[in-house]
Amino acid sequence: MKKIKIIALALVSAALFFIPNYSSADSTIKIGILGPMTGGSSMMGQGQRDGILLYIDQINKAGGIAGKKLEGVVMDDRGEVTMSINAVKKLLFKDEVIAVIGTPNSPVCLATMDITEKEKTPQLLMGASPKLTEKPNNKWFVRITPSDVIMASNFVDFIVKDKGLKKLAILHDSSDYGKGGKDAVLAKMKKYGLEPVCVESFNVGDKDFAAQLNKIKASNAEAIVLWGLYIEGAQILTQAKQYGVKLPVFGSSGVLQGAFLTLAGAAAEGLYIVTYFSADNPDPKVQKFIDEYKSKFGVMPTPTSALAYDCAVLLGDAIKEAGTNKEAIMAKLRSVKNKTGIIGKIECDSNGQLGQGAIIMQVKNGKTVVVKSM
Amino acid sequence: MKKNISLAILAIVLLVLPLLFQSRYTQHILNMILIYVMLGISVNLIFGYIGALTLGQAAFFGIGAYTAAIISTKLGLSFLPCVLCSAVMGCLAGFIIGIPTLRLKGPYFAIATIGLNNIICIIFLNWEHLTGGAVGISGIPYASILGLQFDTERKVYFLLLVSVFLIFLLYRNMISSHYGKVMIAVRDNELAASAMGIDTAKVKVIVLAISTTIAAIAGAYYAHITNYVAPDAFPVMESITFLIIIVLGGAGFKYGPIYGAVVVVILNEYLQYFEQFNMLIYGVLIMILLLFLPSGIAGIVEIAKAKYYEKKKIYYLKEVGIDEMK
Amino acid sequence: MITSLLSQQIISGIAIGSIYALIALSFSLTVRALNVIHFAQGEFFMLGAFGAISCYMLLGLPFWLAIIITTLVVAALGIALQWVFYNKLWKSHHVFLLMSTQGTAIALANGAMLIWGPDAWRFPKIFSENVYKIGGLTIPEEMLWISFFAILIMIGFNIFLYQTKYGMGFRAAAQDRETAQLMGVNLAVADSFVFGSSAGLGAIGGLLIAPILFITPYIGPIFTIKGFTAAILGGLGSIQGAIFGGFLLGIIENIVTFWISSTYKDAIVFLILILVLLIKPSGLLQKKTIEKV
Repeated sequence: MKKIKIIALALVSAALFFIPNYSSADSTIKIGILGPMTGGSSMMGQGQRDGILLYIDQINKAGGIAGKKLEGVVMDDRGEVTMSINAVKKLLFKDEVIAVIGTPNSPVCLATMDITEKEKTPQLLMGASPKLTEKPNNKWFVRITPSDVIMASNFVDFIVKDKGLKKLAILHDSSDYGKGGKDAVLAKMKKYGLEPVCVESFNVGDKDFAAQLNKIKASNAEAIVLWGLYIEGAQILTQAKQYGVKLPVFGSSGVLQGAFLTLAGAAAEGLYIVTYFSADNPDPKVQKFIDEYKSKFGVMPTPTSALAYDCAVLLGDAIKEAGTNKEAIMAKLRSVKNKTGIIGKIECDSNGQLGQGAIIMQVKNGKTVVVKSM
Repeated sequence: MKKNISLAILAIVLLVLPLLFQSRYTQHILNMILIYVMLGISVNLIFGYIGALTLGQAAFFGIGAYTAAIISTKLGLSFLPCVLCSAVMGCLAGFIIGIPTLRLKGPYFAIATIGLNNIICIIFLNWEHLTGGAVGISGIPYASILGLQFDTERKVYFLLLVSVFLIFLLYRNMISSHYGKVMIAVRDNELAASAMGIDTAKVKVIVLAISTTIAAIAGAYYAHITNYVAPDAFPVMESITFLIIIVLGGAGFKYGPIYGAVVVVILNEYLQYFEQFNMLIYGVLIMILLLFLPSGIAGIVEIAKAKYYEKKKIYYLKEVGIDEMK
Repeated sequence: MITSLLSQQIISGIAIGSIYALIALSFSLTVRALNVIHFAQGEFFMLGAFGAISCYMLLGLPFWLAIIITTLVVAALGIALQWVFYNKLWKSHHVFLLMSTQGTAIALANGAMLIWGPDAWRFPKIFSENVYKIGGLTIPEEMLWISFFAILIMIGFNIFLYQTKYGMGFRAAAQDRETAQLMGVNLAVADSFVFGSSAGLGAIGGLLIAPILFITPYIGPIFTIKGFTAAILGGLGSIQGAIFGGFLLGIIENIVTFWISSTYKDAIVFLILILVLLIKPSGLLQKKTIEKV
């Protein structure tokens, strides 16, 4: 019995030493999909994967690119920095992908973009932090997500000019996303000579926002700018209603994710949101994408799916034009001009920022309607 | 004599290993294993030999990584001074935290370390002008010693191998020395140890400081290898991973950290195959492995060894420190 | 103004505190009886909420039936885990059990993600959405209900432990296993009771909170840590301590957020936890230190 155990153990450890290689035939063009498939941000990661797989499916049904089929190699980074470094090295060295798409978490983007730069492989980032495009020496990435600076700038314009609200309270989460957004809002407010009356933060995963809401209520603010993710966002709106905070709320794109409208229900009524993707956008291109996504996966696409799909389209177009030379692909990606994707205007600026669009929507009767689009 | 031969064989194998694996990915995984071996050694000292259950070792790992990152990006110091500063910071943190908390027993110490780990992560997250906040510090230069840059996986491997070897020697000598016996005495029966005149509090604090120093050194290496640090890399979950390494490898066994790091790192890479199922399988596997490895892999190896010597009618008494073979 | 703001924070703290108290209670059970820290406690909580969602929303069962079924299923899961995995680990060092519960936590959270998807779920409102306003204070009615049910369950549990024959037997087993066995207490049953009821109590916490929180598969660890902290604050291993600690934690969190800093809220809470551990490791409520060897 003991012997069997030992032999089994020896076999297991022997097996462990040969890390498997899942490479398949060379007749495919491999695209690395790096994202959180498990963990707290897996909703984004799975949406990202499905968005890219949808495009790959469409291209392969149409005969592939130059006779070669596309293949997506999915790697789970768990939303963790250390795992993501292992994962991106696997994509680069083991699977030898032509480009990496991902990931929605800004810290993970920052951890991996230096590696793809060193290996001269294009990476299409999906993080929102302004820090990502502050790397002038790195020419091997583009970032699709309209930066928080673009979002916040358009949003503050809208709030101050169109709505005439000056006394703002900022409520943000303590992650890179919320803090980046807060800084961008503050910077834009400064241009108007405004100071927020109250800045409050909360942690991702917090469940109780009574204290922050009471503080805002006591601060004479005229409106709340909310920079955070959808679960906390819906929770905050519900609790704001309970505690009688009747101020208009202006939410960031992270708020309109996943099941937000179901979660917040009536509490979301009247909320303004700045975003790049909404399922209620009447644009036929957007509606076509939503139909195809729904028929393939049976669920509604998330904003991350839309971003990922646009990434895949841009990458596919670049491969069509430039072949499989990584340098040529990167040059094509960096010179994208005047394109319109699911997320609106796409144009590459000198920092590698692709997405330039922003739409402001309002929740009316449980649906979002476009108020203004930039 | 025999011991030296096996050590020499091991050394040769380790030196040749990166040549066997041409894939740079595999080389990177070997590097990760070596970093986790360092962390495993640090946890094994404090948990395996002193018996203090720590769930906050990632905090010291993080302190080391952040110290190296800040010093190398803001002050422009080179690699070795960074490692030295990290080690000093880790040692100081170990003393500052150890002196009050090591009085706590059993689960209370574990909970205090969970709290500490969370506090330190919150500091990393919010002390923005020093730590870069949630997006951390990027652009940390590669390690370089005397003009030699460690910028490929293979070069890093040799750098790590030498460091891990030195740390391992220190650790081995420490636990097989008189002090190692003192540590085990404190772990097994604190009351009896103090009755014998051992200052148990002092022993515990010193061992904790050594263990946090090693964790901080591992952090400095981590920062220079990945070129990036962020608060996300050092949560309590990471501390728990270190503990899983040590428990699967064999807590209180000399080679426990090595077995554990190899199994846990490679297991996680294998699981990539299962996409979103990987964490479920990981959790279940941990539960199952614990059932079949009641004293870790090192324990099983020891049993096998004992059996082997018993069969050959060789007197083998490791527990009392006599590994003389007659 | 100050007093009314302070009392508002205390009231808001009590509602979330009652949930912390329930989890702290389930923690205390395993620690007190078996000296086991159960890391998967937050996951039982999450399963309780998802169980309610499945029974009530997807299968259309009435709410009271959903409560009973979910609690029983999660309790059974707790017992099954004990029999399959934990029982074999008694003989080893307690860290094996700890790591095994951590493996359970990872497996349960990710299993739930595969079953219910990574997105958040909303449970329909079953309590009234009325809000009471008394002298400038805002008191949501559902919070009252949740606190009421949580306290009711804890009192019921306390009565069971202290007033019934079985409860006394289980308490005896927690005090001294050998003696209890000699007195005729079935230890296997007592252990299963501890694991089952601690999982079940966690599930009830999840069930109660489901209508006011949004549930994702990964909410477990936060509640594990909070329940933990609450249990320590009040005194690990004592039932009254767990309840007291839960409410205290809820109130401290709200007051700290309101008056000091929302950014450093968790850091301050953990600092208080460590201070309590250092100054009075037996918890704020207990008089003497109980040390198990």
